[in-house]
Amino acid sequence: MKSVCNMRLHSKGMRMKARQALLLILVLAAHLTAWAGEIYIVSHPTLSIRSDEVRDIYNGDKQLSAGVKLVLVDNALIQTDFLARVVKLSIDKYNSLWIKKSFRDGISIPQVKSGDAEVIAFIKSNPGAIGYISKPHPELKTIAHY
Amino acid sequence: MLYRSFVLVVIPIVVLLSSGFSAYASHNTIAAAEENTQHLPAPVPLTVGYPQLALMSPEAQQERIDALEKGLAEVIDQLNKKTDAGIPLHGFADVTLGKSSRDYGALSPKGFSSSGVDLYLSPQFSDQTHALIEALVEPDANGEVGVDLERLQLGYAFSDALTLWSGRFHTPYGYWNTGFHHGAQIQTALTRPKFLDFEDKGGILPAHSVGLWATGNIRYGTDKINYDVYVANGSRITAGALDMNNAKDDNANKALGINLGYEFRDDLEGLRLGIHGLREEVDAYVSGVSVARVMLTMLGGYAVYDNNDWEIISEYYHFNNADLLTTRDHSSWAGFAQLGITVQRRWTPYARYEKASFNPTDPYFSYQTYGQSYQRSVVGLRFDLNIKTSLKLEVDTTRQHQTTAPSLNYNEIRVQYAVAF
Repeated sequence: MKSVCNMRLHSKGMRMKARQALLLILVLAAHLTAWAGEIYIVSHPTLSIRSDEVRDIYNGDKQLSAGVKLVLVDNALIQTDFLARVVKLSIDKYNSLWIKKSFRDGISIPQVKSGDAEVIAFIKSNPGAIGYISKPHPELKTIAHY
Repeated sequence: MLYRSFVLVVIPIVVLLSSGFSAYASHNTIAAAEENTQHLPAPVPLTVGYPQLALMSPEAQQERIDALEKGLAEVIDQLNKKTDAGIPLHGFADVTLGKSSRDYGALSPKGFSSSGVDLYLSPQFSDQTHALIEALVEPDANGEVGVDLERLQLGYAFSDALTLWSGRFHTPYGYWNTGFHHGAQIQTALTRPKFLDFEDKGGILPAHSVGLWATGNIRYGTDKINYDVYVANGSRITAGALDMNNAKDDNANKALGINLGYEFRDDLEGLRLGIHGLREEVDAYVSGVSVARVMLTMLGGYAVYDNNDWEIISEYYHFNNADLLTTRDHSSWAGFAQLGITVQRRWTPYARYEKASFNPTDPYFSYQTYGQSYQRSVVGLRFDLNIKTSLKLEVDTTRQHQTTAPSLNYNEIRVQYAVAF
């Protein structure tokens, strides 16, 4: 009788743990899918950049495209998400990387724009510009979409 | 039971709500922006102020609108050019408080000091031509403030695979010398490895060179190969320290160097392995007279891992120097390994071990004041106030070998406030 009770208690405990695990998974899934915004990597229409070069560009490893100096802009509204999804860096690591790159190689730290409108205006007026926005823009070239 | 109920019910609700709020906050920002646009005055009909527009056909109106848009774009472009703030000026500065258990000379820390203000700027003349100018305003051992031209590089970027620099640059051996140099804020530790310090601070290698430097990177699959090849004025030893012959070379022999690195991506992201070498003829002078001539041949390697809050840097230098006056060869080596880990984004405890075993009969080392073998252990703690400001506390213990006297043992402690701007 005692062993049956123990088994019941044990199975009850197991069920409880399974429920907790399921809930945890659901909660994490809900949290992870909370931000499902789109990110469009865009450039000046005259630039020709491949989607697999975007990470190198934002790492500071690629600075030229067909002889044109690339000018990078960050979009403050979606920067954290962009860095996590595309560059695979936290914002701290990214900022630290660019301070070091700027000192070592003499390259300019990307300008941070306040949102899509500023990024679009900047890219339109700079032939080497590349950035990212939350909606595609008809006058800019979309390089990749995340 | 109550606790479990709490865990099962309350925490999920809180997390779900927070998820909802964060999503809501994003939408709310957009909604607020949309609402603000609704409060804008109603659009003015195109024909107001331009009665002639009402008489135009729709095609003509469209042409007029296109012309206006083009004009507006040109005005914005002009405004952008006019509001160009010029060339950004960046730099580093630090203040250090230090104490040594033994006064061993000018480099011994005592009280407050500052390594000065390091300023650099990188003007871009065209897509492919650019420059890098760095000046250090620093006090010397007597407290006199002077200006050192640290770098003056004029470059042409042929592609990402080849940039050619000319002028004075940080000699690209190992990882540390070009990676951090005068940027105290960007290096985790407070001090540089002793043997890699600057020429006038006890370093035994030329931290700077004047000449030509080709550098670039080439993709290899997802990984990357970096290279540096340089030719520069050979150094000389004068007044017990290396001089990289800034103004002109003292002999016809040039320094030749190479640094080849491999950067891993994906599974080994953050790992960089490299080999490096330097060869040059160095004359040692005493009272202006050449007393020794050495062919310096350095070969070495380095491994760096900088990812996931870990920073591991190790460098090795092997010297096989030939005394050109006696035709004797001398073998020496030096190296260090440093390990640091960042916790809670701001705290970085670190440790470093350095060892140098220099042959005391090698004129390249014996004519340098700080060319003695040594061992040093360093531990420290770095606290980042923000991305551009840090506080560091570092303690080291050093055993320095001397040829004509017992070893010099001392301990040091330093506290530093460093900034980047």
